[in-house]
Amino acid sequence: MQAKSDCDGARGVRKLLTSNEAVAEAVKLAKPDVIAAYPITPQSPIVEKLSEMVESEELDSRFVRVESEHSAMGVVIGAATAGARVFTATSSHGLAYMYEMCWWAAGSRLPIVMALAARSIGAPWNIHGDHLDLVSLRDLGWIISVAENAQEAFDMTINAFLLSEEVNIPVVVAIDGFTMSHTAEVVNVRQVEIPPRKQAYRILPGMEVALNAVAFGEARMLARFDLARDLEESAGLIEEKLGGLVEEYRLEDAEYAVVVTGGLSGDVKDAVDMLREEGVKIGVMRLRFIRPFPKKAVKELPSQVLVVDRANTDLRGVLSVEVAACGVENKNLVAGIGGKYPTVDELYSCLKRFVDGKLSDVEWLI
Amino acid sequence: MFLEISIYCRGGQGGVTTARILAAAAMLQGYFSQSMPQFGPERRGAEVKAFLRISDKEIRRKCPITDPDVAILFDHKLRYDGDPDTVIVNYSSKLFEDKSKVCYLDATEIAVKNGLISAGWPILGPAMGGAAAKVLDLDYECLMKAIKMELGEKAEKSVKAADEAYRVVKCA
Amino acid sequence: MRLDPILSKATVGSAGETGSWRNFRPVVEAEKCSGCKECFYYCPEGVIEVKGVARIDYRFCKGCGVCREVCRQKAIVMVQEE
Repeated sequence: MQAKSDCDGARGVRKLLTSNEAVAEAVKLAKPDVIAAYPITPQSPIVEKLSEMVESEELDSRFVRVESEHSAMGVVIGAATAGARVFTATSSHGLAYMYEMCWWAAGSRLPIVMALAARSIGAPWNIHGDHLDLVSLRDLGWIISVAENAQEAFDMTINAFLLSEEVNIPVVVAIDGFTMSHTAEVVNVRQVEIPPRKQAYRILPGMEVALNAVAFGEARMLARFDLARDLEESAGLIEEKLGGLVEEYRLEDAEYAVVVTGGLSGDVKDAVDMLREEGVKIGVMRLRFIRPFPKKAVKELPSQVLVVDRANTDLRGVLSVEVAACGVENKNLVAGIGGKYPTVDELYSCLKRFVDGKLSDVEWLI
Repeated sequence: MFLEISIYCRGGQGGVTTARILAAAAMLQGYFSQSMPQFGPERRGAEVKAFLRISDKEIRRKCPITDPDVAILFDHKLRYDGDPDTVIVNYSSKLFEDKSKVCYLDATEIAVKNGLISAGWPILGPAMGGAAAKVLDLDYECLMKAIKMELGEKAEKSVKAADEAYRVVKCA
Repeated sequence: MRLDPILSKATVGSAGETGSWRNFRPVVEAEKCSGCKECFYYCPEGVIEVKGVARIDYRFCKGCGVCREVCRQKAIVMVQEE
């Protein structure tokens, strides 16, 4: 290797960061008023880093230590109701414990940003990555973004604050447990100025108002309809200003497409390059968001589609079902559950069998 | 250029930190790099692996390294994966005569000499990292800057150990 | 975005004149009432006002009788509605 001059390959802004650290750096720039979290592997380094920043007065936030994830979300809901910019983070069983309050966050139309270091949910016990916890958020009314690498974890976290406060819907930024959360990569840490907090309503002491009192009849249904409609319509803002719902990789002339999300997309792209070298016209559609679901882009996929999933619903993967719901028939590969991460060579041979028409309708890469 | 490097050590010897320091040194030198520890039941003394990738292009894959180009062994009794071209080993090259390149140093002695001992275990990371940086042709100044960047105030002993290792590592 | 399903403001009588649901009417015997406000604190409907003696707003009192149970002076009696 050749040394490049003065050891400033970092050029001041390139840093070596895990996705956990990248999220924390982005949160620092957003200057949240309140952070509340309970530690859980593999998310803990995010809030450990943030609590260090608060302790050293690098970040002027109130860090609320709580006794559970249920309370962590309760605290950020309360603070957000009063107009505070808020952040929390969790994983796996922590998200399961927080689940009820996640419904309240969405239904209350509060701008909230949460990071999820996506991890398997037991039983049996496992600390490693997959998307089983992530997909449990699908029906709540949250915007769900999924990063591919530490750079995107940084960018998406900043965008999450902008997006959430614009559309009054909570946003989760998912990073893959361990293969991203604990993997250090080169990140361009840009300095950004995030505009002041905005939200549809605030409740302050002295105001005579009830939040989320009983809503019978059409009121509850109207609230649910508005949330669903606004969630779908947030796609416009995401496409226009926040990098889009999908990334298309070598799809221009593709006859075959692989749909995938998260860090595994990088490995799939490497496998696709190997097939491209053999002359196979194959590309990747990487889902940057799974809520709102990129229906329009999915409907324009070429006729031969393989969906690679890290979470299943029945025998089929969750994204495979979502893609099918757009009227796009697809083959399905379930891989990387509980950190059983496929190698690029394994992915290559699955893709090769897919192109050769030899892959079954659904296969599990165990 | 695309290099895959696996570090094999025991919990507490500093292998995970070494992967990160080498990734930082490569970044400072202008490369893309990735350091990826492998987590299991965390236990002092148990076999631990850490992966390191260095490339002149963006690194996309995050899969475990199963056939590294370079294996770094903190202890010659540790097993390694695949068929690496280069082995960097603590103490003796004797067991690796089939390899095209074997580099060795007495990292334990360097660690002990520099007072790098924690709870009865020599911290071999700085010496092994210094040796690996030399073998991987990473720039000395970038390595020193990376150690200081990653370890902050605790860097002094590590800097000395890495410096010595960078100078004394031999390749057969 | 509609906020009405989420935010609401309490108003008197928003559920109608619930006094018509009543079977038994609590009647305060003014000479026994000490004005201690125990009934005021316990009334689940918030329809008791105490200014010297307790006064009940019969437009909204549903006749649950909690005030009678908690009254230390036994100054409240329940009378069947016609």
